[in-house]
Amino acid sequence: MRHMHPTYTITAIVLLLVAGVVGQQAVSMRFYTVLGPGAGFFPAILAAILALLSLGLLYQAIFKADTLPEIGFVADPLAYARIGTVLVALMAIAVFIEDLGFRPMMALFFFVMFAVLGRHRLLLSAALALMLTFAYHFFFKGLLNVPLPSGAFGL
Amino acid sequence: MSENLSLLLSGFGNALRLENLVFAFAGCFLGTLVGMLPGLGPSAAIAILLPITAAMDPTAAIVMLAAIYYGCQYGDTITAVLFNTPGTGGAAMTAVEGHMMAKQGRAGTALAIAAIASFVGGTVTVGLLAMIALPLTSLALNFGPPEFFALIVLSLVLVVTLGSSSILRGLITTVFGLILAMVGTDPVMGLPRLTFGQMHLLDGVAFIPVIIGLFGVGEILKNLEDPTNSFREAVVSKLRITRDDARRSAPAIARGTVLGFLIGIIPGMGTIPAAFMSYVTEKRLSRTPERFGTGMIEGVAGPESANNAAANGALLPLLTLGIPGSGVVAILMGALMMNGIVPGPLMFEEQSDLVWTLIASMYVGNVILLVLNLPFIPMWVSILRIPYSFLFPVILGFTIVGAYSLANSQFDLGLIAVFGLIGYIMRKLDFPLVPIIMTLILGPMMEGGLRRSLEMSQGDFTIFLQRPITAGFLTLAVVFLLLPLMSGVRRRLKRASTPVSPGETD
Amino acid sequence: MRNFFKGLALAAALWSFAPATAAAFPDADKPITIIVPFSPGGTTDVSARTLAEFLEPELGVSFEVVNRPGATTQIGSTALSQAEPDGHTLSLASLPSLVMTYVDEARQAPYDRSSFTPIAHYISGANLLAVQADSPYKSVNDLVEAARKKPRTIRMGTVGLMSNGHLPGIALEDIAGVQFAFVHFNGAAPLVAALLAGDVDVAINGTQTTIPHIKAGKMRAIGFFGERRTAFLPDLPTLRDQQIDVAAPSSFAVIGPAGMKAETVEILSNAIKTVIAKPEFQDRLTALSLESNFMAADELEAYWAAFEKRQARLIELARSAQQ
Repeated sequence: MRHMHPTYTITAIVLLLVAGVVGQQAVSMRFYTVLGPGAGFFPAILAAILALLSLGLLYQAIFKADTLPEIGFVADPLAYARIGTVLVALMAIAVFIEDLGFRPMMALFFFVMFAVLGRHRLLLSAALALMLTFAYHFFFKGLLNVPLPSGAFGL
Repeated sequence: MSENLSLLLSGFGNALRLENLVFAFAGCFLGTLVGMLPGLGPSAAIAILLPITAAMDPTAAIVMLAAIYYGCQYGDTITAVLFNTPGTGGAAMTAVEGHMMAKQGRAGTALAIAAIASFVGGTVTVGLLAMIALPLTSLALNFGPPEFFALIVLSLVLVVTLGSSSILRGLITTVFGLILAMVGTDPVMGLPRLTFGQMHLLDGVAFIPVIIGLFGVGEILKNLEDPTNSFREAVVSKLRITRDDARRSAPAIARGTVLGFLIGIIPGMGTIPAAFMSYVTEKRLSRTPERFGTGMIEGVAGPESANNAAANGALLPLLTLGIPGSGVVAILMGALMMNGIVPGPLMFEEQSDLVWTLIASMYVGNVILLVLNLPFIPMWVSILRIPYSFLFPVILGFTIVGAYSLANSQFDLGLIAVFGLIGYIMRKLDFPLVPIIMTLILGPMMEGGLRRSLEMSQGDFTIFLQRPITAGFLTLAVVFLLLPLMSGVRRRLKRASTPVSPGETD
Repeated sequence: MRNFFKGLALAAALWSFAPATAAAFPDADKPITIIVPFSPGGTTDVSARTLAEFLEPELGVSFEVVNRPGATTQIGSTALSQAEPDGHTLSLASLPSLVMTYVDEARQAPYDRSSFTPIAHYISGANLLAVQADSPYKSVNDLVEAARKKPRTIRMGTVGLMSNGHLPGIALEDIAGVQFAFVHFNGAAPLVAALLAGDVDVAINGTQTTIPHIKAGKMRAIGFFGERRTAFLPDLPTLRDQQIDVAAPSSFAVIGPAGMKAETVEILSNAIKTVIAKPEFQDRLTALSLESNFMAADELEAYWAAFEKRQARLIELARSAQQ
C-alpha cells in the first residue's frame, strides 16, 4: 500500500499546466460570435475539462495510488541514456539536415545508433552506416526521386 | 446493368493486356514497398511518381497509380503488425491488435488475415463501384456540413466511450488530442490559434509525423529499454489460420467492408475513421470486449477490410462527380489531370473506356496483391529474426526520410522526436494512444462542420434538427453517450478501480 | 547556425575555386530549384513542373521542383526569402496567397514584398460565380438584387476563409453595398459538392473545377472575376461586363529572393518569355485549363504593388465584417 504515486502526481501537475496555458490562450480569443461558437469556445471548454480530469488524476495519485498501475521503472540507468541518445540524435537531424546535407547527417546518425546503442564494433558500425546511407540515398533519391536535402557542401 | 456488365468486360479486356498488367504489377509492388515505409504513404508514393507517369500512356499511368494507391493500403499493415509502426493512420487500428498478435508469435496469421480482409474489402467494393456507383452518388451529396458535423460528433462519442483500462486516462488522452487539434488557424476568424508564433503550426499539428512519433518512435524507445530481448518470442511465427480464426474473422470482414465503403464515399472522411469505426463496432459486438487490446483477430480483420473498402469508396465521388473523396484521391486527380483527363460528372460517359479499365484493373490489382503478398509473408516475418540492434536504426532511418519528405520540412522531423517522447511516456504510464489519433483527425472536422452549418443557417441551431440524417446521427450520439452512463456506470467504475499492470494493455 | 555553415561552405568554395572569377549565371553544374509552396498534384505544382520541363533545355541547367507546402504558402515563401539570391533558387508564387500571408499581420510572416525579386508573370486566372443549373439567378445583378432584398441570406460558398475565393466576394459586397452569408469550405472539392447538393446558393470557385459541371448541365456560371473574359468560357461575361466594377484576378509569377543581379533576372525572364511563346507549351497549358500571361520583371513589380494595395483593403474589410 503506497500513499502517493509520484509519477502520476507529476503527470497530473504537468497536465494542469497544459490546461492552464491553453485556457490562458483561449480567454484572449472570442468565446462566442453572432454565428455561434467563436475561436476561443472549444479551447476554453477543453482546457476546463482537461483541468478537471487532471485534478481527478491528482486525487487518484495522492489518495488512491494503489488503483494506478505501478510503473515498471527500468533499473538500468543505461536504458534511459539510450532513449535520450535517440531523441537527441533525432533532434540533431531535425536541426542540421538541411545545412549539412542528408548523407553526412544520416551516416553520423547510423554510426551513433549502431556503435553506441547497438554496441557493435566501431569498424562494423562505420561500415554499416556508410552502406545504409548509400542504400537510402540510392533508393529514395536515385530510384524514387525524393528530394533530399544536399546541404551547404552539396553532399 | 447489362450494359455496365459488357463495359466492365471490355474493361477487363483492357486491364488484362500485357502492358497494363505489367504496370499494375509494378504499381502493386511499389505501393506495398512504399506503404511499408513509415510516413511514406500513398500520397507520397503517387506524388513521387507523378512526373514519371506524366510521360506514360494515360491508361497505363492510371492503372499504375491506382495500383500504388491500394498497394499502399496493404503495405502499411506489414510494419504496423511487425513493429507497431503504422505508416498511415488507417493502419493504426491494425497495429493495436496485430502487433499484440505478433508478440504472441502470430505475426504470420495477422498478416495473412489482413491480406485476405484487404482483398475482400477491395474486390467487393470494386464490384459495388461498378454496379451502383451512380445511385450512390446522391447519397454522397446528401452529406452536407450538418450531416458531416453530426457524424463526427457520433464518432467522437464512440472515441470517448471506447473504453480502455482506465476511463480517466482514456478521457485525458481524448481531451489532450482535441486540444492538439485546436492548434492552427481557427475556422471562425482565420487567425492563428495556439500556434505560439510558430508558422509551421498554422495548418495545425501535422498528422503523419504525430503517428510516426507516437507509434513508431515511441515503440522503439520502449524497446530500447532492453534491446536484447525484443521480438525473440515473435520468431516462432506460424502462417496458419485456424478454423476459429476464420469463424471470428469472416463476419468482421463483412461488416468492415460495408461500413468502410459507406464511410469512404462521404467526401472528406477517408480511411482512418473507417478503420476506427469498424474496430469500435467489433469491440461492441464482441462477447469479450475486454479482451480487445490483447491481440484479437477481429480487430485486425475488420479495420483492414474497412480501410480498403473506404479507399475504394473514396474513388466514387471522384468518378461520378469529379470531387476527390480524400487527400490521397486529390493527388490521384492531379495525376489524371496531368494526363489530360479532367475528372467530372461526365467521366463515366466521356471517358467510359478509361473508367471501366480502371475499375477492372482495380479488381485485377487486388488479385495481384493477394498473390504477391501471401507467399511473401514468411519473408516479412523473418525480418523479425534480424537482431534488434541492427533493425531499429533501419526503421528509424525510414521514419526520418518519411517524415521529412512529406513536406520537405525540418519541423516535421522535430515533431517525430517530440511525439516519440510523448508516445514513450504514454506507454509507460498506460495512457491509450488511439484516442489522440482519432481526435486529431476528427477535431478540426467537428469544429469546421459546426461553423459551416451555422454559416449556412446564419447562427440558427435548429438546422441540426431539420435535416433527418443529422438528427438521426445526433440522437444516436446521445444514446451512445448515455447508455454506459445509465447501465454500466457502476460496473465500469468497479473495473477501473482494479489495478492494471502496464504492458498488459499497450 | 545556418549562416555559419553557409560561411563555411563559402570559404570552402573560395578556397577551391579561388582563381576563378564569379561564375556567370546559370551555373551548369548546379541545378535550379523551384520551390512550390503547395502540395504535389495541385495547379501550382503542375504548372511549375511543366515550366521546369521546358526551361531545362532552354537554359541548359537541370531543374528540381521542391514542394514546401503549408500555411497558405507561408512556409515555402519563408524558405525562398532566406535563400541565396544567385538565381538557382526560385519559386512559383500564387500572388493572392503570398500577399495575404504578409499583409495579414496576425500571421507574423518574416517577409514582405521587398524580400523578393520579381522575375516574370506566368499565368493569369480568375474565379467565377457559379450557381445550380436551375437557379433563379441569371446574372450577378440578380444575385445582388436578391441580397439587397434579404441581407445575409444568400449563401455564398468559398474555398476558404480569407482565401482568394473569399476576398473577391468581399469586393463584390463592398462595391454593390450588400451582404452575403459566406460559407467557407476547405478547398474546391467540398465546395463543388455543396453547390451540387444545394447547401449553398452560389459558389466562388475556379474555372478548372467548375467547367466539367457546366458541361454536364448541373451548374451555370453567371460572372467571371477576371479583367478579361476567359478563353475557356468565352460566353461568360465578366463582372465589369455586367456593370459591376470588380476584378479579382489570380496570378502565378516566378519570383526569387531579394538581391538578385539584374542580368540574372533578365536571363530568366527572357527564357520564360521564349518558353511561353512556344506552341507546344501553350498546348500543355490549355490541356490544364490554364492561360499564360507573360509580364517582364518591371511590369510584374508594378502589378504586384497595385495588387497588394487592393488585397490589403479587402483583408481589412473581411476582418471588420467578422467583428
